[in-house]
Amino acid sequence: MWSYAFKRAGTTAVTLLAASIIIFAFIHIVPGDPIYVLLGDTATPDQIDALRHQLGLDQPIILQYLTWAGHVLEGDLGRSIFFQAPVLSVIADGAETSTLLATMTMIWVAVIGVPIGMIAAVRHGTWLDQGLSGAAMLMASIPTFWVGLYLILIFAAWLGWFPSSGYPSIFEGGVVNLRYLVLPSLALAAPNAALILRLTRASMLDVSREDYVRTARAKGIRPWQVVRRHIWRNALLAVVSAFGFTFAALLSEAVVTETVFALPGIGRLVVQSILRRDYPVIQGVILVIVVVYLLINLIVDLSYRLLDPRVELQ
Amino acid sequence: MLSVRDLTVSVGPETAPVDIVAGVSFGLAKGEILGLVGESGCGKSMTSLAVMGLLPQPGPRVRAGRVLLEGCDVTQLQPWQRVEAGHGRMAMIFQEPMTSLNPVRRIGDQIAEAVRVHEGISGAAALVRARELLELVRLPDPKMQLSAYPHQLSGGQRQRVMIAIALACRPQVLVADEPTTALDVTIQVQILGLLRELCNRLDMAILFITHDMGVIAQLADRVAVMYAGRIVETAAVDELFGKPRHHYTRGLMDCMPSRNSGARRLPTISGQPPLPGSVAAGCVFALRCAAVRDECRVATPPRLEASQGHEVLCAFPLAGGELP
Repeated sequence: MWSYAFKRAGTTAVTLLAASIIIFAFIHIVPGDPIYVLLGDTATPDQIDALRHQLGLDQPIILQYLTWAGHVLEGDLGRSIFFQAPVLSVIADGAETSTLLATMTMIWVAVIGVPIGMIAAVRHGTWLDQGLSGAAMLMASIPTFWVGLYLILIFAAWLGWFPSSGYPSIFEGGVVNLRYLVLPSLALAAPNAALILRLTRASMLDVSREDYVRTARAKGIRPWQVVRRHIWRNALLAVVSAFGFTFAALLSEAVVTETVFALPGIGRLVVQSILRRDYPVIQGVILVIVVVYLLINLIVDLSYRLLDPRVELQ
Repeated sequence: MLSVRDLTVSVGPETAPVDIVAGVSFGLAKGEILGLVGESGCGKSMTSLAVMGLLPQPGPRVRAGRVLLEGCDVTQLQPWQRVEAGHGRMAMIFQEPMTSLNPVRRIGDQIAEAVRVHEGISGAAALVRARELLELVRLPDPKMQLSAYPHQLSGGQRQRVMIAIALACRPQVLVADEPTTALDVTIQVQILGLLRELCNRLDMAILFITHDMGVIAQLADRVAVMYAGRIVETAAVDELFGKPRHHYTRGLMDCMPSRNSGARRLPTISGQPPLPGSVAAGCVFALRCAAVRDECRVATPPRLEASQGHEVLCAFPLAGGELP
């Protein structure tokens, strides 16, 4: 167990180092400069040089990297050039929205995708299965911005049940502010729940053809108990890893939905920071996303261990 | 104990069914081991799954015939339906012990689950019974093995666990579908010995499916030889090996290597078994039979009783003794 933890920490450190170098190198290869974004077209060469020196952008890139990496190791991700605020607090603002949005989305995905996928598998081949699988196909095919716009139209504009855009922090307005995330999370959940539904169904059908399921049936236990005790847990193995990566993707890639609902999330922060050439923020956000992926990977591996006794942690 | 009458298992559409098991009949007396032998694809596994009510769905179905367990009709009943109807005392073990146990559940759980269904007892008592069953199948260190996972056991040990699960219903009939095929020869001998012992001790009848004539000779009391979905010959084991009447049975025996057969090539039965549904008339073995006559190709062969308890599906059987 401990040797596993050490090995795992070692590979994590190497991955982080490699990721940080790649992030840094690629961002500085991209043409453009934060100076022009900040000072505009009318700046004099003196002003430009002064600001460039002030931001440390006149130094060799390797030196810039080492300075940045040194600060990161001390827990300091630098200051945003655009916001004139610490990168960590800029990311924290976006992370609150994104984490809550992703969590709420995964709850929808879990309560809609998994049980309906199970029902479709148990009723496999019937009109119910065909109907559910067809509906899932449709949901997976519709773009999220379209679903988002119609959710706004119906539930915000016509019915007025939920707000249509923005997200004031729950730390300021209390938990009721979660209602701002209901429509965007539903829009994001639609395609993801559909994919999880199809995965759950396929996985259950695969497992139900296993020899040990036949053994279970031969024992004389009832069909739903065969599903509950023998099919479901084995089928879950495939679904769990999909869950992990869907969650990680939702944290960082919900740009379209965040834009439709005007949410201050991580996805939008990355895109806007790239447009502004706000190097410290881009570097910081991507680093945080890499860390999140690594963590989720670890959680998925650990949950495998819980679900499947054959998996040894080595 | 178990009586199977004209069992017919079909695939394909209702309007044009193709019979993969065509009118199979046999009986199984208390404490008797019946060997059902035949080559791959002859329908022996389908017969066993149909008897158990475990045919894969969707897929082959029982189109006609009866399965009677102690006189009660259990045709078409899945195991849980049979248990509900009070005819639960029939169990099955399978060919592949490596994949027949659930990899994520403990051995004890998997046995206790079967115990609970059949004995109606709770968790702790069911585990006690599970341990007794492991002792019955001679698994070393049964107490430890209760909390083991299947991947921690060898193939032979897993087959013992499978037998323990089967014994949980105190079966009158055990259906064994090639239970030793996937095992090493030495382990195979042990498992066959165990089955014989359990059969005597528990007065249990065994329907033993195999393609291995050697295993049949070693274990069975009676033999039914299956070919292309039909039972072509039935006899007591000594009678069958001593005086085979069907040309197919004879061919199978000629194919068996013996210790003094030397280095010569083993004889074979030329040709392939017919595809299900491809023989429209006459004897299914006619295409490969060395003694085939013109009548064999047109007329369905009769079922003759060569001697007491020795039946053969052939119009011109081999002369092993007096024929009617």
